[in-house]
Amino acid sequence: MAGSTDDNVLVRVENLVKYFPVKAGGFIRHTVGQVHAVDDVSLVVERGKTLGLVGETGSGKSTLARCVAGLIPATSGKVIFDGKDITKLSRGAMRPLRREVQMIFQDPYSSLNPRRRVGAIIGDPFTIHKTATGAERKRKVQELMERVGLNPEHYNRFPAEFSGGQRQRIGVARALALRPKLIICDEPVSALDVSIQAQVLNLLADLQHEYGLSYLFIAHDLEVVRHVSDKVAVMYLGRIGEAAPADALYERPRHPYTVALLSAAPAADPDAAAARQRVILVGDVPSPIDPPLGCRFHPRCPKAEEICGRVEPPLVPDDEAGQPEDDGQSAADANKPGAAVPGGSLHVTACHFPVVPGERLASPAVAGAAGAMKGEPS
Amino acid sequence: MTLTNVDLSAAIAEPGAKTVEGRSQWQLTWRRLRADKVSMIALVVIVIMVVLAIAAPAFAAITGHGVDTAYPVTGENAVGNPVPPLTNGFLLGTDSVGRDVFVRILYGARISLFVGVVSTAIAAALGVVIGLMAGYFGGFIDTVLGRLTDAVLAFPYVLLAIALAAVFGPSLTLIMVLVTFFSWAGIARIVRGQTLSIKEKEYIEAARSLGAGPFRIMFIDILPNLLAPVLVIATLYIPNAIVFEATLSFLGLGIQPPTPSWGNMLADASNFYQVAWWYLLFPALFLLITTLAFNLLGDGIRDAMDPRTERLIAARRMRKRREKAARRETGAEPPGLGTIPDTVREPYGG
Repeated sequence: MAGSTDDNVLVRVENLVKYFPVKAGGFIRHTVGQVHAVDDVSLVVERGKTLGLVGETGSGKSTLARCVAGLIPATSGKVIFDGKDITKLSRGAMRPLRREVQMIFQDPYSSLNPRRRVGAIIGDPFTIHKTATGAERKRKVQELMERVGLNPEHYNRFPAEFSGGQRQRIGVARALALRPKLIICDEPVSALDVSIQAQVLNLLADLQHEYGLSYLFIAHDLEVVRHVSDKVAVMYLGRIGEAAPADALYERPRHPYTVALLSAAPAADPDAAAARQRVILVGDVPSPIDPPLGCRFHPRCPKAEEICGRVEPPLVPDDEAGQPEDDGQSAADANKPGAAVPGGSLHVTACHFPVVPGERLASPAVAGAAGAMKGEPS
Repeated sequence: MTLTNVDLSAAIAEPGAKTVEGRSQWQLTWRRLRADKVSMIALVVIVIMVVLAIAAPAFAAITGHGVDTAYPVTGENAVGNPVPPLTNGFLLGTDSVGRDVFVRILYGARISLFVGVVSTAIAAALGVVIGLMAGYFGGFIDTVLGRLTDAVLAFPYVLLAIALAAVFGPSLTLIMVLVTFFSWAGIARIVRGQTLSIKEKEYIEAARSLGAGPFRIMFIDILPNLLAPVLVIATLYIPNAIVFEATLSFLGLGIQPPTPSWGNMLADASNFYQVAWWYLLFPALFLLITTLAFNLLGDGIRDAMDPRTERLIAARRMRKRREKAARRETGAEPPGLGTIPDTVREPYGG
């Protein structure tokens, strides 16, 4: 048992990089730059667990998800799924793996083909992988529909005849059809009404429990991520800034960006909302074509100092790692080599000056950040 | 969970519940098309034309006039000119050598409709495949197919037709090849554009993540979304094909006499219109009505496929209903347009 640290790891992403070329020129097209969508990201997804991935628009969450799903090739780095590196596989060799990794998409309106009947959409996985045909296929599809809370009688309807929540259930049924090990949820509820979000999230939780699924759950809604995730990683401009078990991250955020992000989320409890500090970031997210040197967050960081603009801070475990919520088990986990990777059991932060609990990030930050912005090449 | 269970049992328990069958896009389109009078008239005209063409031998038998048979006794007057319509059993008169114009027009319709429909169908199939490949694969394939399409669209087609007819000799096959050759490019271009926009949809990515290959995605996932525009453009291309065939036959490069076609009848009639106006008028009329009907039907289908049209029709229906209700209430003059526009015309008061 001792040596096989990967036993509980389903997906291991190692130093994943994805650049998109920026092309220009009308007649002879040439590459003039690269969008650093995902830049040297490592993480792990544990079996039967959920890794939440948060970050604002353009932070590279979805690109990362598509690389892990094998939908787009990575520029470099590895995605090791169940012990196999899938980044180098050909399309044919990738095929059996498609059964193991499925995706649920953000927009339930554009993720279902409007011209095909629901039965055909949910039955597609069976047809493509030739696992069931005819009456058996129909029976399986109807079972799936019932399992996700749809009326199996609606087998012959078109997606347009369903509500947003029902459509997302169709998407869940399609993803579930081949009994995958990993489901990548790309903002699965952000297009839904809040009342419907809970239903879909509970459905996902039930299914995880029932089938032992692992989720890579992407969202920008922090409360949703906290609700569903075991571990959470925060992305900013293609890098992971901080990652930890969900409660640790939300209760003791250490990266100034995480602090700002958490402070921006509305709180349900007005007293709590009044009590906590509100960190307002200045400026926009820098262009991913030309990301800042050093720490990616330093131009906007309230705590930034000179070194932040020069030296990229590595992801390091928290000093008091595993102490507060320790129960022996996590101490053992902490000693495993994989623990310090985002998605592992440790609280890791990439910051030269991590926030200590109780510290207030005050408004002087505004002036500092604005100054730093000026120094930035546009 | 409980909520959905309730839904489910209610739906199942409901006595005499109708079988749940989604109304497809096509059913909706047909419903809208039926509400459009112009389209329905055009459709009826086309159906009549097709029936006439199919039943051409039957009409020939009824009149007793063969298609290529000249009737020098009954079909020509004392000085050897064609006889006018409704003379000696010639419904639309006779032509320059005393053949029955009506029967020849019906046989001409067979050629026109056959060339129009079949060539366009082949061209549509070709255009869909080429457009799909260009749009879906992009890159080098797109460049090659795109240039090919441009080249075809830039071709002076009458010139090519004359040259080819000179080389191979005019024939029905040549006409169909030419019509197909010049029709696919326009369809391919439209299909390519549609494919480019559809392939960015999330459901295509979903299909890829399920492991679907490029051909499955093209023909199972993208094609059904293309059928509507392709149907519209194909319907609009049929009259073009018919006119093209008529043009070639008119120039003597298409259907060769004595086989009748609208085009070669018109060519022959142009020498005789001073003595036999019916010989020129009726083939031209059939050509006009047929192409017009296809064009109007194509427009109608396009409108019917546009979801915005539904609202227009609904609004019109609603207005009618309101007017009727108002008439019933007052029992007098219908309010008509006089009362409502007053407020519309002067929204800020006088």
